[in-house]
Amino acid sequence: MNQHLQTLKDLIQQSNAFSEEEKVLLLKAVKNAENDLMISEFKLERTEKVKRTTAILLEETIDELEQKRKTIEVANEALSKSLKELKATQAQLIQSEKMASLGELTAGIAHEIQNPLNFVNNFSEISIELLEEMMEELNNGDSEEVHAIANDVIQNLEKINHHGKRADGIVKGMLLHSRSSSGVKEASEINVLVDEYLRLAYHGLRAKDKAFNASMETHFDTSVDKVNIVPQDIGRVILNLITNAFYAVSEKKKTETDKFQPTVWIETKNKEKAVEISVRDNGNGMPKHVVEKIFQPFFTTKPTGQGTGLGLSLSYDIVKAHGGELKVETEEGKGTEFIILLPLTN
Amino acid sequence: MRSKSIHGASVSEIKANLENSTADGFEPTAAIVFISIEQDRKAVCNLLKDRNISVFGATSCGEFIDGKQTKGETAILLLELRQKHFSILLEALGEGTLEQGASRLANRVKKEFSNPSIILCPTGIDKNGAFFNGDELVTHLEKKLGPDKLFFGGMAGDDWKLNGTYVFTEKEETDRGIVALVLNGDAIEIKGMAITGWKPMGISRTVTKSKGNLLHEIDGIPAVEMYLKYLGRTDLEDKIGYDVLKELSFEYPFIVERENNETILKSPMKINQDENALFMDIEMPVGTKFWFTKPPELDIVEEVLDKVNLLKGNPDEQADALLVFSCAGRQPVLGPLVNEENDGLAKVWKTPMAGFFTYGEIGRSYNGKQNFHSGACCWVAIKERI
Repeated sequence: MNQHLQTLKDLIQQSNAFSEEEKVLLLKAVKNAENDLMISEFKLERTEKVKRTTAILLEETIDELEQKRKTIEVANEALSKSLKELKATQAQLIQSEKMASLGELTAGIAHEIQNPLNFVNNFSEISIELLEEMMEELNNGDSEEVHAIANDVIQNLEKINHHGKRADGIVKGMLLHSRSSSGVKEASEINVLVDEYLRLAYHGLRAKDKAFNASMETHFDTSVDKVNIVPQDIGRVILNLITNAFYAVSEKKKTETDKFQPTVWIETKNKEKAVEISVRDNGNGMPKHVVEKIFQPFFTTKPTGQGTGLGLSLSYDIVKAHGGELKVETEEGKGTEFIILLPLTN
Repeated sequence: MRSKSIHGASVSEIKANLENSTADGFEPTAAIVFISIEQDRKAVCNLLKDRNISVFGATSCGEFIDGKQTKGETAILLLELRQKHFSILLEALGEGTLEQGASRLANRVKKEFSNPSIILCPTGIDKNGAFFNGDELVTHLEKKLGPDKLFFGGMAGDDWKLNGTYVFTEKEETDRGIVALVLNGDAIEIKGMAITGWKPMGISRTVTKSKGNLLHEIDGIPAVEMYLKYLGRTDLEDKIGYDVLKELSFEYPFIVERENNETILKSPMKINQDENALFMDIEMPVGTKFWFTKPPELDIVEEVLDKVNLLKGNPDEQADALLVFSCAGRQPVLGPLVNEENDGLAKVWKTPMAGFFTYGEIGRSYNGKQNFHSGACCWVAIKERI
């Protein structure tokens, strides 16, 4: 017992000044005081002890976290470096995807250029002949005939100029496709764009594989307005979807009977606030586990070396960047339809 | 139902106090006996048996009744339970598994009453020094009895000797088994709660290497090194002779995450120098998330008593008897506050109380599921339905 309380207790017990009842009461109070004192002392001692240990524990934890922070900082730097390298590699891959699609275009472009070139060649040959004739008529002094021939030559030269410009346009378009997107949007005729890329894709595939043959059915809604888009970007999307569709039907053709008619349908629709471009095929369709991944970068079902797995991923990003949607509907064994929705208010 | 608590430092004292308590016509039918390993439990049992009092007993690590707390003595709660509403079962595990024993006990319990409630005491440590897996027992019992059945209790102690604990009835005893007081839940209501008061401190930790009860690594750092360093014992030279339990882990156990936002305390019992690992009282498998802890605040007594009101139907509700299973680790940490806690519970329920300091507690935290606990104050109020 506390020394002072013990003194108090002894005094109470020895004192004659209190009745027995009062002594019991007082001794109980002393006992309670002793108990309270003991608890207070315990609390004080424990508070000090816990405070000390808690401080050590927290200091050690802070040291540990500081070390972890430093480690994370180093790891972060390494990660930033890796990320930079990854981005550079991805940029290279994206460029190679562009070049791959350019490759797909080359045959189509060659076919397209061949026509104006034929015109240029033919009309220049005819013009030479006409000029030779004109020289003869000049010698003959038949000014009326000279005049008529000169008019024909002028018409020929106009045609040569027209077809020369057409070839120039095709070449410029090709260059645009191979360059990085300027990102500049311009009002574009969707039907013309789709038609142009459909022909390019088809002829491209025909040039690569003479045996390739597929029906193309187009339905262009003439009420479709001009849409503000980056034409080379959307063109790339259309080309990608059409090329995929042709690939799908040609793959199915390999395993089907002669009765199977590979067909790709291309349709545009005016949807009031948007333009819809649909590319549908009657290929093999896709299973669910493939559909879930087709927009993921680097995912491809094509054999190694035949696809980068970036086509649909880039297409998705391009359509999204136009505020639009790229949707897919597919049924195994029946075919696939990709739908591009481009908002008019874009 | 009437009840009385008695206490004694010897068989003769128990005999005298038993006679005193029955002098007014009180006729107990059941005795809940918490007795030091040093006492003659056989003699105490015979004393009770001679009076046709059924015994539910467990050895203790300190024992108490309302107003008196001791170590090395005997505390008894005498109950005037109607014979048809209770049964005392002892399930010795023998050479069998804990699952088999728990299953046998559950089947016996179900045969006794259609709606049973149970007070139970498993042994804490057997004669070979093997710890009883309280967590596993609760899991098996809950599975067999159903999640709605209530069971509260504590694991027997042996005054920190750690060389054998016992549970017993007036007929038999075991150092590896369970004693159960099975109550007819339709006639006798039990209410209880388990509270620890320890709070997580610092950042969450993960066990990265462990095997059985040995905890090797925490967050990739040797567990022994981290535990001693973080609790300020880097100066320790004699790790073999260091009593990690008494010196540190009573106050600073780990708090481990488990289902339903509940937690459990797990304590390092000793340092295994050969394996450079902490020997834990309960296994901590790899991947376990846990925290270092802060001991209960000094208002823990108020917290424990306040929470009683959450279970009381009304503030004046009383119980017929109260049992308290308080973790043996609370005593060194909470000092005199433990007496306040135990006596406070008896006062709040206005009823006789007996309890003991345990090697593990079984019960439910407020709104929690049936669980095994460590470091907890687990109380259970018993009341005959009218």
